[in-house]
Amino acid sequence: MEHSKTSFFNMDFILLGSTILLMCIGVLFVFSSGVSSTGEVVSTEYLKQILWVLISVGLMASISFINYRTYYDLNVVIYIGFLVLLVCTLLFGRVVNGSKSWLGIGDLGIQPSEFTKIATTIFLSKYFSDQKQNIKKISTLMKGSLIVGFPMILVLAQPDLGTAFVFAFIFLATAFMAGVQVKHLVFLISVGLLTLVLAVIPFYYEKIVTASSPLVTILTDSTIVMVICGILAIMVSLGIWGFLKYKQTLFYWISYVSLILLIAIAGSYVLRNELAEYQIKRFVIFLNPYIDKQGAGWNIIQSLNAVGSGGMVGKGYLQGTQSHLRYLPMQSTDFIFSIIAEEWGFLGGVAIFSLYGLILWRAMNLILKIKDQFASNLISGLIGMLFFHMFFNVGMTMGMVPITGIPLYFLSYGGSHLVTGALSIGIISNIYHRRFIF
Amino acid sequence: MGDSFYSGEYLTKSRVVFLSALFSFFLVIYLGNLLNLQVVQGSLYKTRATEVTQRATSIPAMRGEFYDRNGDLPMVLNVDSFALKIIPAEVPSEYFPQLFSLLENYYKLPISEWEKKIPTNVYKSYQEIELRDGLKYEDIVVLSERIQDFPGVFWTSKPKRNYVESGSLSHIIGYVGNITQDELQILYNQGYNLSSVLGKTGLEKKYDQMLRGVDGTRLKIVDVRGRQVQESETLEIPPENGKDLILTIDRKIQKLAEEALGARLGSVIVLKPATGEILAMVSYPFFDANLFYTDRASQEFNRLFTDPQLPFWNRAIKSEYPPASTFKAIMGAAILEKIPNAENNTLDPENQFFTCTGSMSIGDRHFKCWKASGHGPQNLSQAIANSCNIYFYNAGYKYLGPERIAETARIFGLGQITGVDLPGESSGLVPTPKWKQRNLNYPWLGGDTVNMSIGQGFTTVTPLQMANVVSMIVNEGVIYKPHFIKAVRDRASGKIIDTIIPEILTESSIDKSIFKHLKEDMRGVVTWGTASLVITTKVVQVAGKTGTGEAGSIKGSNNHGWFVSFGPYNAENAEDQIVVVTQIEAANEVDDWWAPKAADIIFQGIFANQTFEEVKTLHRPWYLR
Repeated sequence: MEHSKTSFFNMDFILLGSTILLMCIGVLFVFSSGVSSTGEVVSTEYLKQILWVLISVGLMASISFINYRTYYDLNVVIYIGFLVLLVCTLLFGRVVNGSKSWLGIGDLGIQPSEFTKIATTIFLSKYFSDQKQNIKKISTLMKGSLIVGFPMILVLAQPDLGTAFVFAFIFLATAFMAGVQVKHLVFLISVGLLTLVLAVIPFYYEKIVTASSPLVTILTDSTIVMVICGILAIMVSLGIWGFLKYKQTLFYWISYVSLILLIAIAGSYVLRNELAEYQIKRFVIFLNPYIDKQGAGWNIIQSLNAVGSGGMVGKGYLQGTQSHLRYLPMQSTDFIFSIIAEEWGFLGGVAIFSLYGLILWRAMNLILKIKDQFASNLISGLIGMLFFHMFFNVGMTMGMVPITGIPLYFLSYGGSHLVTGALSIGIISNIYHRRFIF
Repeated sequence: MGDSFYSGEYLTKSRVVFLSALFSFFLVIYLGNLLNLQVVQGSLYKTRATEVTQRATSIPAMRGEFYDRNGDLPMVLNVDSFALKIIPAEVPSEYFPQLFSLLENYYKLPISEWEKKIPTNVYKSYQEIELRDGLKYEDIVVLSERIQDFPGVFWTSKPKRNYVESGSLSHIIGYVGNITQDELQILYNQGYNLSSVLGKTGLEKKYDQMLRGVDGTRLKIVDVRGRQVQESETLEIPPENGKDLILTIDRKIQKLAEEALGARLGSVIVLKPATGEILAMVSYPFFDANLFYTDRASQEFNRLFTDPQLPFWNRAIKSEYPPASTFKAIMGAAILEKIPNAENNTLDPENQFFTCTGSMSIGDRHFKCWKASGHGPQNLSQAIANSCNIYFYNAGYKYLGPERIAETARIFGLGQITGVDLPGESSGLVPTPKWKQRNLNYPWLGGDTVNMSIGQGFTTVTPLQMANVVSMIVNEGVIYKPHFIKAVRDRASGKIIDTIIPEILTESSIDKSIFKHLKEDMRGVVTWGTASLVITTKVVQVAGKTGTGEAGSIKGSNNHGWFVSFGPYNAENAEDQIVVVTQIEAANEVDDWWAPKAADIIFQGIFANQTFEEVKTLHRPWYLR
């Protein structure tokens, strides 16, 4: 299969174009976020952002020409390298906004956790593609989860809960594309979601519903939790015994469900004691930001006001009132979408979503064309990462999902994630470039 | 790359379709929600955005106060004081120069200082900035009369700390200050904000969370430009005041210890071995924390910070010194425990088989006893009382060896922090051959063991660690964690809400009889040994161990002086006993023997209930006449 279609013109211009367009919009609105209500420019962040965009576009173009199979060969080096960098961050890093996530000198610094996302995706994709024959086995999935487990633990230690979730999602997306059994993935997702939900339920009832519920007593009383876990453990064992003896799938599903409940209930009990109250609060406050208007809910309320007041066509570029009065904290990073929605309105939102949609379409279409499992896994993991960020960042500005504080790729102010996003697209672009070779 | 080749095309295709559908589904949901927010409910948010919003200002919580162990008189008070603040966005940009010159007139600070506080890039900010703190009521009154000339300026109550009994307590209590950017980054999410005041050192820092309470909030409705909507109600969430701390410190003993030490570099610790309660801790020099709340704060701070005598340095917990002869108490324990009491053992602790001739040779090195003519035949009790070096050289070099000495030293808590509730404690060092090889890249020599046996060489300890060593002997095998907090009290109700229960720090397996032996030996030091002349008090039976250590490179005859002691020796009730440790640094014109003398004054003062002056005039020890 020798096709030498690797010339410059054989590039996915829609993919690259959408990305660059998003970055340009990002610069526009980072600038807007730094303009005060009287029209004075009070922040020079946009200058740095322009520099970052230039660097990112340069990197994206270069990466497009580097054979992505190189990463296949170098996977361990890349992965270990970034893990070491994460450890260094924990040891020598700088604390910013309560978590130790920065490595660098003075104002110059990077967030190694950003780049580790790509490194982990590469290693994971390689592992799953090598294990193609064993992909249905639980042991393969378990080993794969170890690969993502290490960076997750290091990121949690910073502590950066939001980024840890990103790693979990990268794992799910990569494993799904690699062909892992759906029931295993459903098991993992159920355990994860249920653990989180059960962990925050007592807080939810106490602070948001402000009513007691028997559920709260059940989940917080250590004796009851232990009794329930005991019963569930017996059910799991009975299920396994029954399945082995009678080969009936009913028994399989009994232990499947019981095990999910067992891990979730026990896990949520532990998690509740591990998480600080402000972390739990950030999890549930989006359900009703008005109960803590001045605290955790403030950002959401201000963001909702900004987004909602944008209307169909927006107030016009640089004409937003909420953002220019600086009601929004971290408006250039976490809440960049609020400004876009305020100034460009619903149509602006549609534009952003469409550009993201184009990236999704090009990437998914590419997977159908290629015949390299490593590349398929890689694309899936990277796109999963970009979209997880997008859903959680944009969702946060609209009060739809918990506050995780993760940036919006291509648009938010900041170098590390801009470069990470550009590298991801660069890798996908190279896969497109070489799509006929494999 | 063969095995990574594609297989299962059908599977991948269906999964791609599923993933695309899933992401697209979410995109559509989001778009729908955006449409709902912006178009369907748009007008609602438009009104909200332009009309009113709530603005919160914080009501500072009253910081907890400190009381001594009797809980009656405060040692640290809050004094009414005000902070002047500004919201720059409420000032028209062109008005700033005029505002600065007005402020210069009113508050005697040059325009450049005000410009530094409000740089041009924050002119449009709604974030409040503190202009000045520590203002008196009168300062505010003059401003309030002409408030129309000061747009955007307002004031809040910001009580100032008054360290009533500053002096030597400054090392224990510490001081507070405004939060710095760096501190805020670390304490983010823990209830601190840009205008927080927090403890910088000492107990103020250690118990900051308890002392600071929770700030309250005052909510007012403001319009989109930040102006308060006239007839709106102001809602208040009251602050939760900080808790008062009742210290284990006894103000009388603290004062006595401070005066007994006098103007000598060094430290004193008085504690109750039965509980670990610290009754007094003095480190000289100390500083007056109240200076940091005056106009000359930064000059004073810099002066103290660059003072070569290190007034910010709490010597009692941070300085590491060779323990010198006080280490012989630990050696005594090692000898009694580890050398079998055999008849033919020349180092038999009970029999005088060993003779001090004044010097001994190991290899080509000569080691001398401090008494050149030698002490003659010595048993352990005599060797401790006479502080005979040769006896311990022998014991350490010929019988114990560095590993076993180090093991015993560690049992006594050396080489580890004591866990006292003050930040910044040092751990000292218990050397071993392995440590030396690794850190100095040089093998352990016989001379090192000899030095170690008399508390010289690499071994270093803090005065507080030595207090713990004595506690272990007094308690016959137990050390209670030294601490400063006796109880926590609620300000409003005056109720004790938490009483600190003594916590065991270490428990040793050494036989109780060995500690009894050591107590007798230490009593011997005072009744007929090295300290018999300087311990003059008759009101209490003191037992202790002296130490004079070579002070490294400092030339001349100056030595670090130690006295580690306890009393009463034969107490009926363990609660009545106290441990006193005095440490005087080598310096010119310092009496080598002041350490035991200071301890003598402290014992006399505490047990005869006398002040330093009364000890001087009523008890009249020979060295104070």
